[in-house]
Amino acid sequence: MTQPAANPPTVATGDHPRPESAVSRALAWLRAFIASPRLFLSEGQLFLFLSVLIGLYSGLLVVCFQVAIEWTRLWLLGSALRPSPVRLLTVPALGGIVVAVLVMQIFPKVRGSGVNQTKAAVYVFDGYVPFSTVVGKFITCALAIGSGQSLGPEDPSLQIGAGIASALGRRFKLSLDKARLIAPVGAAAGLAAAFNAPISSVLFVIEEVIGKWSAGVLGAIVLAALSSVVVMRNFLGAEPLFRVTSYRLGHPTELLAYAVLGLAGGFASVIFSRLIAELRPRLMGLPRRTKYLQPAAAGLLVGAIGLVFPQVMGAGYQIIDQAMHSQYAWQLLAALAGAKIIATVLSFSSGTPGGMFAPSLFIGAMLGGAVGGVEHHFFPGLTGSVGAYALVGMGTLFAGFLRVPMTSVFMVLELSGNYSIILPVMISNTIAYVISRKYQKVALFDMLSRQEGMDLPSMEEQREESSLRVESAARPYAGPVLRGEQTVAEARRQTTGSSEPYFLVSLGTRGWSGVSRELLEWQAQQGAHDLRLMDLPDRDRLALPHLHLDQPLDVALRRIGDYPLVPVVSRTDPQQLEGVVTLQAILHAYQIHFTAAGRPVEARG
Amino acid sequence: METERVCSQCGQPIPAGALQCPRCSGHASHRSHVLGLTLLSLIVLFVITGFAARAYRLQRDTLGQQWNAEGQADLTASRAEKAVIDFRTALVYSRDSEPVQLNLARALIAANRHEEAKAYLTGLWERDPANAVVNLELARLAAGGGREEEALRYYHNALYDDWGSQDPAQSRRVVRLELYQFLMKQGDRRQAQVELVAMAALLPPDPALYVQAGRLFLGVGDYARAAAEFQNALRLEGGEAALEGLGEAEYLQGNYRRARLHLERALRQKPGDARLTEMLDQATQVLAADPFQPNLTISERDRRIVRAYHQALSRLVACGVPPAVPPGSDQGTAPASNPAPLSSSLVPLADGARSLEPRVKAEALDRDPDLVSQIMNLVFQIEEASVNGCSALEPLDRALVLLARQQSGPEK
Repeated sequence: MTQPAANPPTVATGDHPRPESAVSRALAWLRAFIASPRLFLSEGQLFLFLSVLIGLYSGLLVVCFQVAIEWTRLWLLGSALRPSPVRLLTVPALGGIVVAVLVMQIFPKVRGSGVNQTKAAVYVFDGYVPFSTVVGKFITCALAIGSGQSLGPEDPSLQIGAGIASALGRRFKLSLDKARLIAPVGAAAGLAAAFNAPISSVLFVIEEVIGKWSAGVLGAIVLAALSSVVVMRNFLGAEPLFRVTSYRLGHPTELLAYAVLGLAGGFASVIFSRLIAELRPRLMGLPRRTKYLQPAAAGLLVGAIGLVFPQVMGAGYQIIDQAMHSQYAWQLLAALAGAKIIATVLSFSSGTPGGMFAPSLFIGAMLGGAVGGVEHHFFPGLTGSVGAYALVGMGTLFAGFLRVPMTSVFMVLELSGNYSIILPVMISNTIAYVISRKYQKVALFDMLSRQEGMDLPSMEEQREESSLRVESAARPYAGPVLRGEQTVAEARRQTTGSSEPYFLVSLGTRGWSGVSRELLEWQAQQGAHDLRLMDLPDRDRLALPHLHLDQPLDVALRRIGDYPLVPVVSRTDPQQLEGVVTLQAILHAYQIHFTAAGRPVEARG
Repeated sequence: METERVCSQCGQPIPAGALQCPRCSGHASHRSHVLGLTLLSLIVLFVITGFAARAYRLQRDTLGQQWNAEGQADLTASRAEKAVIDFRTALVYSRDSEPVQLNLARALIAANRHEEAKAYLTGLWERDPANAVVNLELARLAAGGGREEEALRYYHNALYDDWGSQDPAQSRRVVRLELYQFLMKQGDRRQAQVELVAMAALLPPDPALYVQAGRLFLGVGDYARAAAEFQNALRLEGGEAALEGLGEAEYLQGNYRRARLHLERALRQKPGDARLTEMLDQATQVLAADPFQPNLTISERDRRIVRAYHQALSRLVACGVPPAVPPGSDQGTAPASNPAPLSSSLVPLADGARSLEPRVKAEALDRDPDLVSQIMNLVFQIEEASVNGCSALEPLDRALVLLARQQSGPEK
């Protein structure tokens, strides 16, 4: 005899459906929404949507990255500002060995500048940044910076953002055009989160990675930068990297004091760049086996410097903040600037992964503070605080060393939130930039890419490349201008005696066209003397595009096609002829331009 | 004939029989799948980051507190240099902590790194000029460096600025006290008195504070306000300190009767106190010597005047200016060549005393009321003029000097 079960299982039947919970209803809605055709976005819409996702991802990863750096530092070096000598000498060296093994064996692509690798993704690899680079940068840079190497987290953050963007672009199967542009979007997001400064990051990516303002990508970059900063501030707080002291320009003559800072910053930038230019290729040229030891040796030397100046170890943001709040005498500030240059050159040239942004800010702040301190000593009446000089100094070195003049100005404005500091910043940055350009011909990022065997487009050269305009190729039109209402007979009479083989026909508001002498003769032979020029069949009458004198010559080259000549007209009155251009004239203008510039025509465009 | 349908998304023709564009539906399906995974991983990363960031912030807060505590311990143990490093380390983890910032400034001052401290405090001040604590520290630094104007400016800022979480009334009292001491050190007694008056006006009902204020008023010579403060303290059972202070304040004001009353009560609580005893004796002497006291009999008044006159003559003798020179002798009118300055100032007074001598009698005093004040004025002048430079004052001399000062006004 069977006994009834104590707890008989319940069976859901079609007659008695189990009531759905709120969670399951929400999941069902989400599934339906995701599968909905409404979600099929156009390529442009998807690009913008992805930029927000990229910003969120980058922000989260950069927060984790910064926490990882800090935890590594606390774990390896302890929480004291001045770690014990044993730790100072052993931790960076041992950390260097581990980093070297990781770089040589597992993540070979994490060496070098993240900015250049992002540029390479845009210009060479169709937007491809391997995801392993993201993982490698995260691990190796956290270890290197946390163990005290004199490098910063911004450049790796930039590359982490670019890598994430590239991975998402691939997953979403973006077109090649968009896939190429997605890496800079991620780069801006990563840099913005690391800097907590979205405007500067957007400008930097445009100024140094993309090289031109493009409406198609600007919106995506801004969206990504903003969303990453929002995420970062949500987790780490809205406080800026540095607390900036108030600034007020007491008297215009005080600008001279900032000009002196510009001089000092310019020469410091040159020294810094040249040391890297000298040491890095030498170390790169050493046998492969030594590359396992180079980061360790650099770490040992940096640790030795840290015995005297522990402030130079790591990114040094806290030290910058303290310097900006007058916690150090000017003598110490000057010494720290010098020590940081040496430590950073050693760390970076040894192939240890990490960025140069934080060190350049550190050096600039120390240098600025020192210059401000000296000037205050001799001119106590100066109203600008040492903190203000340190702030301007950061921008100055940014302009002189990284050679990003526009970003450097906006970075200081964004960090300080004080627009009255713009005059000192512009003066100081411009002087530093000019000095750096004079004594260090190749910009840092170009130099680094060439050292790595790549010839990426130089944004500085592109910015300064003088572009040819239509006016260079235009010449006066020697023939008569015919009107569309004229008959073939009238046109023949008017063109008699002209040496031009081709004649322009003004169609009034409908633009311009042209007829050849042969066509007029042929129409006359056919007896079409009274046929108006505007009534000629389309195959006989060419509708001509037109140009303006101020347009780039590249536009003329694209438009001229097979036309024998193209009219150049006034912008205020398109019926007023200002000249004509021919293909021969365009090519001649290019030839003259490149000959004058001293380089062959086939050089980079 | 059926017209060809075109996909609204990609513009490609949709094959006959198909419900939607196969290309776009394939894309949508793929992207939906990827989007789902992306959002899911984003949520997971969000949670992980949240935990990590929270732990990170907690750790930083803890480290900041630890280093701050260590710095305070070092500062207390007079290890100022180490305290500076400790506080700087604390600021790495709690960079906006105002107490740590101020501790660092104090440590720099304690380490005699005044320039660094000043620069640092100035930086804090620039960020928050209305911070009273920063202003006070800057005032102390300026006062220590002898920069009077700067110190006064910062002290006054501290008085009227924001004290944050601290008790503003008590903090302002401390600042006024410091400012008072600074002003007294600078010799600016008048301004010091002004600060005291302002401080006293806002005192809470605390006998100890009233006694303190009374003592400070005594220090600037404002005996009336001092007496008022001690009386306030007594009303709140201020104890022997208030009684003693009140007795002294009354004594210094010349209110000897009231002074004797309070001093006697104070001595009962503090028997054998030499200072109180001396003041009490002096007050008793003054009261016994004063011929202008109300309710005195005529004979007693005359007796006190005659006694005072003879005491003044004795004082002249003690100062080497004998008044009783026989008439016709040159010695009385022509002092010795190169007389001492004191003697020369006493000679005319001695002449006056000599001329009055025949009239210093009870009968004459009764007949001529003006003579009373004439004699006593002369006595007071002799006693005042001979305070310094002659032999030690006898108790009656001292009493007469006090009476003389009482007569000429409290400011003396």
